[in-house]
Amino acid sequence: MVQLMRRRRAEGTESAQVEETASESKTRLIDAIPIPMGDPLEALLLSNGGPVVLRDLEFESAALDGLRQSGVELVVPLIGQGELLGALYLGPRLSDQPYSTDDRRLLGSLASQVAPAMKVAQLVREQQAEAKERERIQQELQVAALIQQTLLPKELPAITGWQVDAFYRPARAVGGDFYDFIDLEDGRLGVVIGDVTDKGVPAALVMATCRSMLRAAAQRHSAPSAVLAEVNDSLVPEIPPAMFVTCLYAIIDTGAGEIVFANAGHNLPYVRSNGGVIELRATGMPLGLMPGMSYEETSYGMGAGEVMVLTSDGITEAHSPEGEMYGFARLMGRVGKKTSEDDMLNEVVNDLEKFTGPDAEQEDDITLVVVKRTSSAQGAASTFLPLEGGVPLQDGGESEGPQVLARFSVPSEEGNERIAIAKVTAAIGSLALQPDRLERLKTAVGETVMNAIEHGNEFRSELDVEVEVCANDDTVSVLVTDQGGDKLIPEAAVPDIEAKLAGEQTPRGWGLFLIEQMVDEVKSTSNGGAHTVELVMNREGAL
Amino acid sequence: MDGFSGSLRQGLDPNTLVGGWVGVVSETMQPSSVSVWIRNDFGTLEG
Repeated sequence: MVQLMRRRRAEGTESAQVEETASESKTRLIDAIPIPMGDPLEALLLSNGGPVVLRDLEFESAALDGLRQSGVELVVPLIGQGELLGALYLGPRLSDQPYSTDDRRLLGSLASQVAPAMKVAQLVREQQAEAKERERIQQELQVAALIQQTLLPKELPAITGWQVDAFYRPARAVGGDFYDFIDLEDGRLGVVIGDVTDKGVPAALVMATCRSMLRAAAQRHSAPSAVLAEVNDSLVPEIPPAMFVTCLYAIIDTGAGEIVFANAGHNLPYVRSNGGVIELRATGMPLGLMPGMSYEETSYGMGAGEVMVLTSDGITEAHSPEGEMYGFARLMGRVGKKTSEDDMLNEVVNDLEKFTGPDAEQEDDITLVVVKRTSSAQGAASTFLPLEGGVPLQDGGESEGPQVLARFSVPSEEGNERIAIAKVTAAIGSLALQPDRLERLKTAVGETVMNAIEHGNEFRSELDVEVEVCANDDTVSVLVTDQGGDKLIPEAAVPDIEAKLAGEQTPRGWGLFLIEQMVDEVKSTSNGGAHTVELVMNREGAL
Repeated sequence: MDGFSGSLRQGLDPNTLVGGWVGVVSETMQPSSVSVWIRNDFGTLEG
């Protein structure tokens, strides 16, 4: 039996030797000598097509000389599609008999069968290699996606007088978008949005490094420009060649309403101000390209009702089916439209989806951060609310009592019940309540918060409505507290138009009636200065 | 020879094909020495 024993690379060729292992044959091994392209022997073998006896040849050839010195008598070429794929070298026969015409015909016939089979085998091997490569890429993308998802915030900041929303949707090939919220001292909030060039695991690792550097630098510097400058200098020696990071870092003074930001080559932010859309400008080189960069700083005072929109280029560089780019002008126009819903995040995303079409494959990661100043009420230090499906907030220790999923407040202004509904929905997203029960709870929350704003705090924007969301294994509770003083909380009353007209029923009583129909239990308490309504929904039948 | 013909039809990997080719030739021709060279941009031999 003959086995291939090893391979050898020499000047662009591979060779294989064979070894007799199961017979008493005295066939010896010789080095496989390559026949370089352009060697006269190659031309001869191709033109002849079959086995060639070396002693008959008379021309200058390095390969021919080498073969003769190795004692090769017969060369059997392996030819496929007009190319010399290889050759079999045979020394003289052990019997000293010459290779007859029939021998050479048989050797030629065997070689002519081997060549196409080799070609097929090669194709199969290439296909297997391609499949393996595709699988490797897929696994790499999964790892990259996991890194990104692990590092992106699982909670949104909840700050009195502000509403912060974020949207992130990775492309199939997972780009390097990221965003972050950094809780700073004195009621300030750091907001980061960035994009690492390249895709896959390298981009994800750079993103993770950059995020850590930003978080560390943000605690050391109070100026966004200093934060970006430090991160840039730290990143330059670490980042792989030809990679860089665009990044915008903003610090929001939630009390004064001032936003200060610096920009390292990222998309500029837009503000839907009370006087129209503004593009806020600040220049700076992307991070990781060159050390010693300085970054321009820009500030803007956000008024109540104004919205700042931060985006990644996955939005502006998305294409329609006709090949048109979404672009900055369209984004700016969209940001400038105020609708009755006033839901900037979803309105931008929906507009983008409408533009790209329902069947479009997303070209790049899409990231959107929306910061709205809902009222000029003094901001408070941020707490963080879980994003839908995120990790619930822990309320200290591992007690077996109810777990606090979220705690936030909204100013007593008309319409803020919608904020409360959204935040409660996000907080209980991972509990998988049945859809109809979830809708009933949302209705009850909206009604209760509206009651608290209108009848409890009497639309006084300096007073907040506090909301706390808790859950245990059996129930979800939403506690809504207003600062209604010592006014009595009316009993829930069955709506009676005649009683209302006679002044015997208050609208607040009607609201309570509706609330009681929506949830499994309603508890009302008062401590003299604050009224709390607790909405309890059983979790039975959770999905 | 039959086994080698079978492997040709089944389209085995290049290693097996070349090994079979060399084996058949060695057994039938009984050369004093044998070697095979394959251009490496054609196929990879892994011993």
